[in-house]
Amino acid sequence: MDRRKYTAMKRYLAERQQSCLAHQETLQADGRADEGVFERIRANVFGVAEAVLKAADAQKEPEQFFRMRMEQIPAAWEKSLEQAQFHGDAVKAHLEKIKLEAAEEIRTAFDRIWSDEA
Amino acid sequence: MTDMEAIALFKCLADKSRLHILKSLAAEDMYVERLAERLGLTAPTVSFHLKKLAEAGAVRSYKTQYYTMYALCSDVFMTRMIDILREESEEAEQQEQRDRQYRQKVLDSFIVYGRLKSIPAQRKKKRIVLEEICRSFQKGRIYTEKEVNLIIADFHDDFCTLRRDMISERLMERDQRGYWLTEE
Repeated sequence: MDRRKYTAMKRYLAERQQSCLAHQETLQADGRADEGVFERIRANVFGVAEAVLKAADAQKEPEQFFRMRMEQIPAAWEKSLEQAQFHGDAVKAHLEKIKLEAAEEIRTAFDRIWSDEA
Repeated sequence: MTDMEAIALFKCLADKSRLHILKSLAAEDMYVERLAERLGLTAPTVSFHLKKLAEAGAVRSYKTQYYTMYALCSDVFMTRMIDILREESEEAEQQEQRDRQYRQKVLDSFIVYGRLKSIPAQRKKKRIVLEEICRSFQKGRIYTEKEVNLIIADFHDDFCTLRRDMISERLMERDQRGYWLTEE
C-alpha cells in the first residue's frame, strides 16, 4: 500500500475518532448524554474503518479490499435501517443513520486521499 | 404514577436537549422542524428525543393538515413530586414489575420485529417466547394443524418444533379435531 496515502488515511481516521470522543465528552458534560452516545457511535465507525485499513495493508490489493469491506459492513446497517423504518422504530433508525453517515464520510475521505497524486 | 413510570420519566427528563424541547412545547405545540430550528439541533435528533419523550408519557403527537404536531402531556407534569414519593409500592407489585421486565427483556432478545431469531435453549425463556406466540391464537377456537403451522411460521421456520413445544408446555391441547389454546 502507498505509505503516504496509508499514513494520511490512518491519521484522518484517528483524528476523526478523537474529535468524536471529545465532542461526546462535551455533550455529556452539557447534560446531553444521548447526543453524546451518537458521537460515540460515530467514533466506533471510524474505529472499525481503522481496523479495516490495517487489515487492508496486509492484502495484495489493499485499495480494493478497503473499498469492498467499507461497502459490505454498512450493508448490514442499511438493512437494519430499512427494518427499523418499516417498523416505525425512530430511535433505532436514527442510530443506524448515524453509522451510515459516518461510513459515507469515510468513503469520501478515502476517495479524496487516494486520488491525491501530490 | 408507578415507580417504573416515575423512573422512566425522570430518566427521560435528565437530558438538556429533551428539557429544552419540553420547555418549547410548554409554550406552544410544535412540529419537528420548528423545534430543530429553535433549539439548533438536527431534525432527526429532535425526532429521536421526541420518541423517547413520548415513550415516557411526557409528550403526545397529533396530525394536522401538513405537519405532525407535538404537545406536552400537561397532566403528567401536574403530578406533585411529594405524591410520587408517598405512593406506596407493594412487594407483590414490585415482583410483578420485575417479572414483566424480565419477560420483556427475553422477548426483546429473541423476537426482533416480530420474528424469532432463535429458539431459546433455556426452558424458562422458551416458555416466555411460546406464550408470546400463543397471543396470535384466539381463545376457544379450534385450529387445524396447517393453520397452527402457518401462524407459528410467521415467527420461525421451525414450526414443527415450536408446535410440539406448545403442546408439551400445555399451552395448547389437541385431539382429532385439531388444536386449541389451553383454558387458564
